[in-house]
Amino acid sequence: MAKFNKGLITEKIISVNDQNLTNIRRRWFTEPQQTDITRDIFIEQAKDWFENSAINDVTGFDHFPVIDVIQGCTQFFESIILKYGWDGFQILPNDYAYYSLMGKYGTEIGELEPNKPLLLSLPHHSSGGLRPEWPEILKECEQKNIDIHIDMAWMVKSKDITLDLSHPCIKSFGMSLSKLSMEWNRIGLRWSRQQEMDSITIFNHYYKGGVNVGAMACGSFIMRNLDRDYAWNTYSDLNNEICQEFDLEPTKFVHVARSKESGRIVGIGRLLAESTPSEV
Amino acid sequence: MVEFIVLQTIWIEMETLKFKIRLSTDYQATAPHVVIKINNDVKFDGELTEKQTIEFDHTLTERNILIIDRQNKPDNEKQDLFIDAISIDGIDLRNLIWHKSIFAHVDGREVIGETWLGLNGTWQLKFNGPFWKYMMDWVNGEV
Repeated sequence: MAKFNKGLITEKIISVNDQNLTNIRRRWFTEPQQTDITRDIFIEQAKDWFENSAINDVTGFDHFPVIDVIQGCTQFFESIILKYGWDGFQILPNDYAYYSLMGKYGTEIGELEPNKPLLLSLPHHSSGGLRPEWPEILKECEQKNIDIHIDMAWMVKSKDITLDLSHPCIKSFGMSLSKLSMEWNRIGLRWSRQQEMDSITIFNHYYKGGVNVGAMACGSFIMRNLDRDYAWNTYSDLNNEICQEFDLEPTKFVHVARSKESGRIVGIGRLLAESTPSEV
Repeated sequence: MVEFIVLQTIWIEMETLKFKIRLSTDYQATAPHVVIKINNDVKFDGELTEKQTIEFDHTLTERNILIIDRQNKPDNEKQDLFIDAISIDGIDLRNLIWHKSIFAHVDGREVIGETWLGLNGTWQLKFNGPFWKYMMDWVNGEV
């Protein structure tokens, strides 16, 4: 008899939303909360939380001294889009669905337009980790004077990611809590080499007094109750067993595996959540 | 109770921004001679014979002066220089220029917000760094 329910493997990638994560949400809405979390307090806590993964090797944070609060990585890249205009930036093929839904198509590696900022997701969902062409992308951007802005939304579900952010073409990146089934809050941070005028800067520095304190207090609560590497620390063994049972190749993402037969990625988030570690 | 360390405000000394200055001209025989400087660093020095966009990067300090010095207008000729647009970090400074720029004519008069430079003289715009903060302070009426 099969140990796991194969029917819970999905074509669509679905986050792990288990009882612990659900409980955090329930507690936030039902228990008395600490609400005196200022922007500075939140940034210090969130910076420490996001930057200190024990299972990834991301370096170069010190090149990005400007840190702002964002409402999800979508706000991170929308702020760039607003600044440069819809035709003023470029993406790679097969990036976040947001772009193609809005009618933006990717430019092939090797054909990037000089001097035009590049927005990209890294780690990259269908690559199962970094894009394999990452060194070539960096080289091309260096040669063509292209600024890179990285949507790192998937970092919170990743392991074994080695990434040096100090490359001078990388100008900013963002991370948020969303992908840990915290889409009901989405708060996160943007790291930049220098402060520039855009909607996130205005959101963080123009308005005075208590902007988004509710979301920051909630984000602070989540980070006090959720280990940075929760996803892999909780589901590493289960991920391994599921991959073995269904002849799947693990990726860097806890909730994503690759079919050895078709080469396609599949979602195992629902299967992980339904097969809690204690049941195995 | 978790304790947090309050993050101090950081002054970023190396704020390097992109400047874009679009000029045009109308003259009879003699083209205007234009020198563009920021904080005494010359970014353009030459005759302006047609519409031209001058682009450069510059690292700002706490106090900055952008200067457009236009000379070489003969007394007996019509010769105009127009500041069509100036942007810093992609931000069009039209409103700031109208309120804060000063064009000092060669005869000693000073005009605020002038972008049609029909006489020899020096146009200047003073602003502080960091630029994003200066813009916010200006909009709030604090500078």
